[in-house]
This record gives sequence, C-alpha cells and structure tokens, in this order.
Amino acid sequence: MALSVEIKKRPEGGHIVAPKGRLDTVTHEEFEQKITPLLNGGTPAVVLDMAGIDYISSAGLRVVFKLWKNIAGNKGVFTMTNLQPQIKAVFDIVKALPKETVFASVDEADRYLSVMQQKAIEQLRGATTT
Amino acid sequence: MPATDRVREVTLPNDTAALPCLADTVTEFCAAHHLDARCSHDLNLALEEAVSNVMLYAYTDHAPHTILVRLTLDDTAVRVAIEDDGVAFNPLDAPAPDLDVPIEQRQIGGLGIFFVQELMDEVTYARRDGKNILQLVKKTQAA
Repeated sequence: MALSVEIKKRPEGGHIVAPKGRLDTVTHEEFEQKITPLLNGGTPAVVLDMAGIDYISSAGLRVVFKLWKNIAGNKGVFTMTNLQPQIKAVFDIVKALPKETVFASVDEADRYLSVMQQKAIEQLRGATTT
Repeated sequence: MPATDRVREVTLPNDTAALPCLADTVTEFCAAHHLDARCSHDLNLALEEAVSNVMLYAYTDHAPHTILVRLTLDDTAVRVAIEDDGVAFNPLDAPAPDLDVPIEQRQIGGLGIFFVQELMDEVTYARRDGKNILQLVKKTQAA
C-alpha cells in the first residue's frame, strides 16, 4: 500500500498522526480524508510524526499545510517531527521548518505541547480572575 | 553499455494512476546508470510535479491523451523532455509562491512548478506543432 495513516489520541489531549509511505498526487486525497476529523476544532494539538514518510511532493505538502493552518487557525498547536533527510530538504525549499514547529522526536514535541497546554490553562485562570 | 540504453522513453495516459509507472521508470533509469540517491529523488519529484500538472490541467476535453517522457543521459547531465498535446500552457508563467510569510498565512498553491525550478538546473518551455514541450536538465557532476 502506498500510504497508511495511524492516528492516536494523546492522553493529555490532542493527537499523534503517523502516516507511512508516500504523500504524493496519488495518495494525498486518502491522507486528507484521514485527517479531516481533526480539522475545525476536532483536536487542540497535533504531533505529525513523519518517520514513516520517505517521499513527499507538493500534493502531500498541501494537505500537511492545510492541517497546519487549520489547527493554528483554531488556536491549537501543530508540531512535526522525525523528518527523513530528503523530506526535510523538501520542507526547507519552501521555508517551512520553523523552530517552534519542528522537533527532533515525538518526546520533544510532547514536552512542547505540555508547556503550551500549561500556558493555555494559566491564561484561562488569569482571564477568570480579572 | 550501448548508447541506446542512455535514452529511455515512456508514454503515459493522462491519468494520475500512471504516475507510479513514471516513478518506476525514473528510478530504474537512475539505478541503471549509477546516479546518486539525491539525483534520483530530485528527478522523481520534478517529474511527478511536471507530469501531474499536465494530467490535471492540460486538457479541457474528457478524451484520452498520451504524454511522452524522454530521459537522456549524456556526459554531464540527465535531460528530460515532457511532451503533451494539451492546451497551450507554459507552467513557468505561474507566479512564484511567497515563502516569506508564516505557513498560517500562506496561499496554498503554486508549489509544484516551484519545485521543478528549484530541483533542476535548467527548465525551458516551448510550444511546437501543437505540443507543449517542457525540458529539464539535471547536472550529474560538479561543473
């Protein structure tokens, strides 16, 4: 199979999305279908674990960016991790490797999400006491 | 190795289901001529972008069409020609995407041909005898 997608809930909230195979013209619609439930407030946070992706083209990138934009637009946190070198090179060409989004491992992304979630809770507490 | 092995042609229907066949052809060609992984990856990606553009945008009828892809290896480069008989369309006319904007604010689109231009050393377009001809050059050794 050219693409399989595993999506797991994080115990602390949010989801880990782990696609395996290729994200290209042929498989991008399948990827989009799988991530659709996470859009529009479907999840507060995503770790996109790219360890299993060995090829990505613009069609695949468009779905990643759609998920990214949608999560951010709904005040969620989007992170990406485990990019293989040739995948990282493709994201680099389109300047899409911001430090605050790309992490070296799922553990690091998890820790970042916990910090962000703690900040969100503190903001809520701050807002309710004023 | 006979000189004819250094040219490989494949004809594809205008159907994205044929893209895996194209990828196999490119990968085999690169392996047969001992081109490195980076060269093989870049050719595969540029060809998927260029050919999928033709499949998705070059035809306004619903008739079957064929797209010709020719790979030629010479002493300095892999040269690729992509020929189709679709509507006159120069992919190089498309505006470059704005990459200095955070992802959250970007327009999604225009990336395909941008990759072709970034990954290939030369990209040229011509319209001849009712055909679009896109030519790509990927150098195989440091100049």
